[in-house]
Formats: sequence, C-alpha cells, structure tokens
Amino acid sequence: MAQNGTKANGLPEEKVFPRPLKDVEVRHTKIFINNEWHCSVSGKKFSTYNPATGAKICDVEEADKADVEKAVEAAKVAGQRGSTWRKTDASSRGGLLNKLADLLERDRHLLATMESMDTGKPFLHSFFIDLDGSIKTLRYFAGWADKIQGKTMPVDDSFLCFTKHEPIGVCGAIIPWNFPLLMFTWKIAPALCCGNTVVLKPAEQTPLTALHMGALIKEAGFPPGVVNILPGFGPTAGGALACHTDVGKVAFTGSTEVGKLIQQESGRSNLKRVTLELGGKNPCIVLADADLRKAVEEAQQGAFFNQGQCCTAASRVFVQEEVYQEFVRLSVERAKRVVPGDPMDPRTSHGPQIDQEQFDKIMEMIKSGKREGAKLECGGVAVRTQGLYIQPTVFSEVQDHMRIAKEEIFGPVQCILKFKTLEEVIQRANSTEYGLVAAVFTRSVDQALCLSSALQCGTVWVNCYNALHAQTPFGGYKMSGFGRELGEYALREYTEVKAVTIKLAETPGETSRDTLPL
Amino acid sequence: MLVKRLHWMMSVVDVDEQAVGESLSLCKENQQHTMSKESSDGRYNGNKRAPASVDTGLPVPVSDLKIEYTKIFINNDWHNSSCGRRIPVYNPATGELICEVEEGDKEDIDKAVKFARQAFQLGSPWRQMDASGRGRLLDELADLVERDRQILATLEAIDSGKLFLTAYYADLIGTIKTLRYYAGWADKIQGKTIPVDGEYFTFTRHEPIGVCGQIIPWNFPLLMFTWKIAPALCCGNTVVIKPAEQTPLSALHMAALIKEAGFPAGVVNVVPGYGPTAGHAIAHHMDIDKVAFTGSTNVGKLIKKAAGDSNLKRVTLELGGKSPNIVFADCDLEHAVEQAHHGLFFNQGQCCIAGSRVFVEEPIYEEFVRRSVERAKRRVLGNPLVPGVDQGPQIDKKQFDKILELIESGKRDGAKLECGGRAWGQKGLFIQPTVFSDVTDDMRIAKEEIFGPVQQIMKFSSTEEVIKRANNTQYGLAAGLFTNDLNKALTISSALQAGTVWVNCYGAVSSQCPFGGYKMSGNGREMGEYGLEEYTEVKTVTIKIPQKNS
Repeated sequence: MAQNGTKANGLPEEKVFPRPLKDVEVRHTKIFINNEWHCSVSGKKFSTYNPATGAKICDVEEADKADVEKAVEAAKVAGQRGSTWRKTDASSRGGLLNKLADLLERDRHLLATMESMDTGKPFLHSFFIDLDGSIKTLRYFAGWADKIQGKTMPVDDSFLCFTKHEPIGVCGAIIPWNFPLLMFTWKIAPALCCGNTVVLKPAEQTPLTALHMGALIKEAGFPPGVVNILPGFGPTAGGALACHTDVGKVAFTGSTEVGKLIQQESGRSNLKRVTLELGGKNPCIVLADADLRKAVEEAQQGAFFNQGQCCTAASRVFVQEEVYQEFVRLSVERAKRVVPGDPMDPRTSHGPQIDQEQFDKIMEMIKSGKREGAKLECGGVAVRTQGLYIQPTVFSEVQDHMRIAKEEIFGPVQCILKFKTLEEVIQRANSTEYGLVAAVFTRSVDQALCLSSALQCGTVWVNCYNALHAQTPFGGYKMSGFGRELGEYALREYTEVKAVTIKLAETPGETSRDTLPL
Repeated sequence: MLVKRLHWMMSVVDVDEQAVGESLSLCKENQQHTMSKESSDGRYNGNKRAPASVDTGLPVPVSDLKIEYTKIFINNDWHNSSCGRRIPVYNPATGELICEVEEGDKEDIDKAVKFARQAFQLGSPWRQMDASGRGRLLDELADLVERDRQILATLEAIDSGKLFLTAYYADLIGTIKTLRYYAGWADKIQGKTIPVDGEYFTFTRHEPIGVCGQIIPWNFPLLMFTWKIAPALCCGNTVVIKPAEQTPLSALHMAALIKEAGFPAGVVNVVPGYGPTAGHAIAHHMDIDKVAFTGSTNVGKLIKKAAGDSNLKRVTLELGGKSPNIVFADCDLEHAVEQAHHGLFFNQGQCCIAGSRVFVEEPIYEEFVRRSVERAKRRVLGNPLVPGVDQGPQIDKKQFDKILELIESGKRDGAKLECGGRAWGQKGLFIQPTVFSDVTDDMRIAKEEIFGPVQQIMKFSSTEEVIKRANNTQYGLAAGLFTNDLNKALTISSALQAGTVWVNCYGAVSSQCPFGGYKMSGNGREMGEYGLEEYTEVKTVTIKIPQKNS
C-alpha cells in the first residue's frame, strides 16, 4: 500500500540505506486531549508489544467512554463559532499542515523505527513507504486548504445563489494497525484541511506513532482541542465515538463487519456522516499477452506486501489459461526467495504478522485451502522463530468456491486461479461482496479499457499494483465501504454544503422591496 | 394578495413566471369565503361555479378524470400485487375513495429489483446507451409531462389535497424543470485526469452505482418522484421507487410516461406500498446499491441502520426540520410578514422546510405579530380545485390529529393563541390557520415538527442570542433571514447550521441549487451538480506508463 512515487514496491535506489534508531525511548504513552497529556479516567492501561520478538514495548493509557466524552467536548469547543480554529485563515490551516509535514521529515527515523517496532513491518518499508506517504499526504492537503471553493449558481428568477463548503464539525476517526501512521494522516489531513476538529482512536496494537504525532501536532502550533488522540479498544472507545451524538462525522478503516456496526450506530444515534474503508478480496487479472515477468513480480508484491496485511492485497490472481503454468512456476520460484527476517535489518522485506489472533486465523485459512483441494505450491507453515512469522505461501488450482478465494485472509497467502475468456473473468472477478481494488496486466488497450470499465471496484491498476497516491481517490464499491479518501474527492467527505440564496431587488438601486401591488 | 401568493409560489419551485403573470391578474375575482366569512353551507360553494377558464384564463382541473393506472409497474409492464392486497386511495378534501391501487410488498420489491438489476447488467441496452441518449430520454419525459400537465396537476390535487393551482404551477413546473436540468447533465458527468507522482497515467470515471431504491413522501408526490429519478437516471442507474401509500397516483401516471418516452424495460420500476412492508424491503435488500429517502427523521434513522444491517448500501436522507426564520427590525416588514406567512402555511404547512420558528427582533415584534395574524385570518380555506382558495385539507386523519394535539400542547405550555387553533368546517381534514405568539424555546411547538398550518412567533433581542437559539435543535434543514444589513446577512448565513439559507426570501428552491440537511435533517444533497455525487461511484484507473511527460 501507499507506494508513493518512485519508491514503489520495495527498496529505493540509494545504496546507503537509512538505519533504524537504536534504543528508542517511547516518550508519549498518554491520552492526548486539548494539546495536553492525560491519564485515563478509569486508571487503566494496556500494553503494546513488538510482534517480531513478542517483547512488551510499553504501557499506554487506555481510553474509554469517559475519555471520549472529554475529548469530544474539547474538540467541540475548539470548533465552535468564534474559536481560534474557526477564525484561522484557510491558508494558515494549510501552513500548519505543511509545518506538521516538516516535523515528520525531521523525526522520520524515529517515526519509522517506532512504526516497525510496533507493527513488525520492515524498517525500510516504514521509512520509504509509510513515511513518504504520510509526508506527501500532509503536503497534498496543505495545498487544498485555501482551494475548497463553493460555487455560484445561475438559478432562475432574481436570486443570487452561492454555496459554501463548510467543515462538518467534530470528526471521529478510527484507524487500523496495518498502516498506523499513514492511516493517521489519511484521516487527519483532509479533516483539518477542511477546518474540522478530530478525535482519533489508533488501533490498540499500534498506538505509538499516533501518540508521537500528537506531540508534533502541538509543536506545529495547532490550537488545543483541534486534534485529540485516544488509544483504546474498538468495543469501548471506538464504540463510544461511533454512537456519540456530538460527533458530526465518523471515518473508519477496518473490517466490513465493524464497518456495518458503525453505520448502524449512526442510524441509532444522530445520523452522523459515515465514511468506511473496509475489506477486499481483490482480483488481479493477468492476460496471456501481458509482460509475464513483470506481472509475476507485481502480483506477488501485491499479495505479500506488508506481510499480506493490506485491504488492497491481491488475493485472487486470475491467470489466463495459456500462461497459467508458467505464471505459477515463476511465482513459486519468487516466493521461495522471500526470506522472513528481523524487520530492523535493511535486507529484510518480510516481517511477522501483527498478533497471535491474526496469525492463527491465517494458519487456519491455509489449512482450509489444503482441505478444500487447492494445491499448496510452497510455504504454508510458520517460520520457527520467536515471533509471529509465516512463510510466504502460494496456492495454485484455487477454485472460486473455496474459502481462500472468498474470505479476506490478511496474510502472506497468494491464491492463483485459472480463466479462459474475458467475459468469464469479468463475471468471476465481480462475483464478490467486496469491491475495493483490482489490477489488470495486458498490453492490449482494448482489454485494459474494457476490463477497467467492467470491474466493480473503486480502483483499477493497469500493469501495476498498489500504485496509491495522495492525488488519487481511494475507496470501495459494494461492501468494501463508501466514500473516497485522498484526492480532491476526499474534501467532499469532510465538508457540509450550504446553499445561500439571496433575493435581489426587483429594480437596481432599490432594496429588496417587493414592488408588486397588493 | 393573490398576486403575492402566486409570486411566492414561483419562488418555491421554479415557476414559469410569465405564464402565471398573464393569468393571475384575472383571478382576484375568484377569491371567496375567507375564514372570517366561512359560509354556513359548507366549503364547497366553489364547486357550484363552472370551471373558471373562460372567466379567468387560469388552467382548470380535468373534470371527471378517469384513473388509468393502479397497478405495480415493473419492467415496463403493469403487474398485480403478489399478495393480492390493494391500497385504498382517498381524496383528503372529501374523504371519498378515489380508487384502489395494487399493494406492493416484499415479493413485489424482489421482482422489481430483479428486473432493475437485469436492466443494469453489463452490456444491457441501458448500459450501452450514450450518455447523451439518457439526456434525450429525460427531455422526452419532460415533454410528456408538459403534455399531461393538467392531468397530473389534477391527480396531484385530488390525491394530496393540495391546491390545483399550486400543483399546476409549483409542482408541475418544478417537475419539468428538474427533468430538463438533469437531462442537460447526462453527458457532462466528467471524471478527472490526475497528475499523480511517478510514471503513471491516472483518470477517474464517475460510474452509476447500480440499482437505486427510492422512498418518497406524500407532501410533494410528483416533485419528489422527479427529484429522485432524474439524477439517478441522468447518471445511468436503474430505479425501484416506492411512492407514499397516501399518494401513489401521479407516480403511476409517470410510469406510463416513462414507458412512452422509451426508457428500456426495467430501468424504472414503481411499486406502491407501505413503509413497514415495501419500504422496509427496499432498505434491507441485499441487491439494492443505494437508497434515497425523503421523510421523517425517525424513519431515516431506521433506513441508515438497515444499510448497516444489510449490505452497506449508500444512503441519502432528506428528513425533518424545525427551520428558523429570523426577522430583523431593519427589514422590509411587509415583505417579511408575507414571506414568513407563506414559508409556514404553504402546502397546508406540510413542508419539511416550513419556517416553523419565526424569530422576530424585539422592536418590531408586536407589529409583526399583528400583521401576521391579520394575514393568517385572510387565508381562504376550501376546495383545493377552486381558484382563489389558499388552503386545502391536511393529508390524513393521523396527521390531522397530531397537529391538533400539538396546538393543544402549545396552549397548555402557555403560548398565546392569536388565531385559529381548531378544525375548520363540518367535514374533511381542514385546520384553521393558526398563529401562536409568545412562544418560548422549551415548548413542544418550538421543538417538534408540526407539519401543519401552525405558525410560532418568538422574540429575540441580539444577533448572538438568535444564532444560538436558531441552532439549538437537532435539525438543520433550512433557515430564513430578513434584513437589509449586508453584514448581518453574511455573518448569520455563515453561522446558521442549515443546508439552505434564504436571505430576504423563503422557500426559494431551484433545480440548480443543492438542497439537503445538516445534523439530523439528513445526509447528502439533492439537486444541482452536487446531486450527481450521490448517484455515482468514483473509480480510479491507474495505468503504468514508461515515461512521464508533463
């Protein structure tokens, strides 16, 4: 996910690699409200672990409903009419976002190290992909802040009509553990750009970079209460945000199951606006005329990137009959070359899974694949070390009805399916409740455009995978969610449109008196 | 007075000003029984007159209208209901049964969705049609509505109890303009090309969402039908629409016109039915991709919850309001009184945008109340088909009872009943135009949507105070503001939490202009270019290229 720019899919061209910091001291472990650090109201804390070693990193204050109340109140006050934030020029909001980007660049090594410690993702991925994506997202939306333009409308009769795109108010954000920092910026950047205030809950597995961002947000000079960060669990802190009647909007990235609950909470409480970025079971279609080696490379990066823990994971690779055997052979060969290792080692491209629960679920899915008759070409087993490593796994001869072809695995498991015709593959690719992304590999313009039109999903990549950019809208069709993040389209999700219609005087020079006789 | 009324009506929904202008000067003659001289022989005196076309030049209702369409419209065919039940449809002015209509339930919705899905399939005639072709069809439909304007206005008036002339000028013009407005958008739904980092070419397509379920209310049956289908079809979706059980007739006539216009089978399906059965089936359907609802906040919440329970269908909601109308001492008082009056009493007060909290600045409060009461007393109640009548019946007994109950609560809570407050006449569902003064914010009539001819007038002293009080509601649909002070107009229009703010006018809704609510008045916007966003799904296509060339 989020390969911005030329660093796509892995290592940069530089020969001298950046190094993780040694002995990182975690300074921020409290709840961030009103630009201050708070202990949890309940007095509870939770531990965060390094998934590569299983070692505890630190304890973090655990936010619950009472803390959410405090944070929402702070955000509400910060966003009320006449507040510093509401009186800030739009261009200054952009200036603050740019300043925050500067601070990220300054702390890049620290943030990348922390991200790898907390998630187990390879340090160089954190450094080049997550950090690069975060910085670019901040700068991108910094540029939009004073370009959120309303319209004037040529309505019939003598009225002047214009629209203002106003901030919605207090925005709740609930983010996942697979790209903690990047998702943090995907959520706060457009929200702040449009003038909202934010109450954000990072995932309980990965609160550290979000809390460091709290410090940077304060340092950048955002007024108190504009951003509030509450580490905590979904059913408690997340639930409290979703059903809070003073939260005007909630944005969630995570599972479809939880996304459905959040939509229901909105209906139950105050009809808050909802955007959801949920799961996927994304088709990656390789046609016989494709550049095969490139397709193998991209498809496998698409499946294994971030240990397969991506909503965009290429988890259904459809390969045309003529090149199927060769594609499988090359994919297996490539998968065998991937060596899981210490995320802090610059040579490592594959780290551990996030936690035991996910690890078990993936192993269970692999078993189901074998049971249902898919051919296990390689991997399929845990790596015998202390952490939660799974050997990159390739299944061939996968059938559409198998669980591994239908359910989101969220692990390093590539499923390869065979197809004959374009008609057939369109039908099979679309035959899922999900609709997040898809990819097509072909040299034919006709096939590329036909497939990209026919596939029911929010993003289609042609001859590439995971090419995500701050400039480009991202989001799902069907049960992969609704609304779009990033790009100009994201601004819609953080603004409320107000139409102002003013009656014009019947004759110029007069005030708006009605001149018709009684 | 009538001049003003019709003039106001024009601003409500895109009225053809010239057409009205030519005829309205002739129709003053037709004003009769005002409230103050309510005649003893009932309210239908007007019926004794011949249709007034010769006398007045005004359009007249179709006499002896035969109801042609009473069945369920699926796949361009007429179907009986699966359950075998029918909905009795009444004229609220007389209480008489107009006809019975086939009642759609879950099975009928399933059938309709099946055909709508088929019509949406890859390679179908509808999906292969040029965008400009969709625009042509919408224009053709507008032509047919113009042809049948008198029939449709008559249907609307007898079915909903609204004034025939209102239906003819406000609802029908609004309908025709909405169709033509979105006809023009069909081939202008443009994606973007995006200058992304790296060696890629990226563009977006704004694709139709799929099968759209639409559930509409009884207060503007034809207009809401059009507000829903026009943007949906313009963007290339297919539609399953449920009109309100009280008012299915104009929707069914539209179905016939849709077929006549040449829309492919299955593109629009019209299923009359009740909310808890057919509406529920739409909201929970796993194969409906989007649902648009106009109605109460309570039901809107259920629909959003149903989307979360089922398939995460996209939801847009246009719900209730308790819209503030703020009148400053520096305004044109006569104009403000008139606009505030119509802003509340239009369509028997049955408008989600009704200006039901009129805040008047202290120095002019007494005078404003005096004139408003005088104005309300001049309202003519009676047969909605007769020109010169200002106010028809409420839609049904349930609404009628609820309104009277809220009036009672107003009296009980200590508001001053200035006029009206009771039912009117011996039969039918008429309520006297009612004005309350000395209303305070804590009273039920100042907090709950009344949806009837009941005007609440409150007093305020400062701008700060009125902003706070105006925003102190769960609703945020519309607001009005009367002042000649530019600073006040711009400051307050910015400060009000409402999707629409009218300055020196009220109810000026138009096709070109987005409409929708803040807070619990709904999600999303209808009309204008913004309406297109709610009926499209954005797809990003990113293609790897060998080399960048800016």
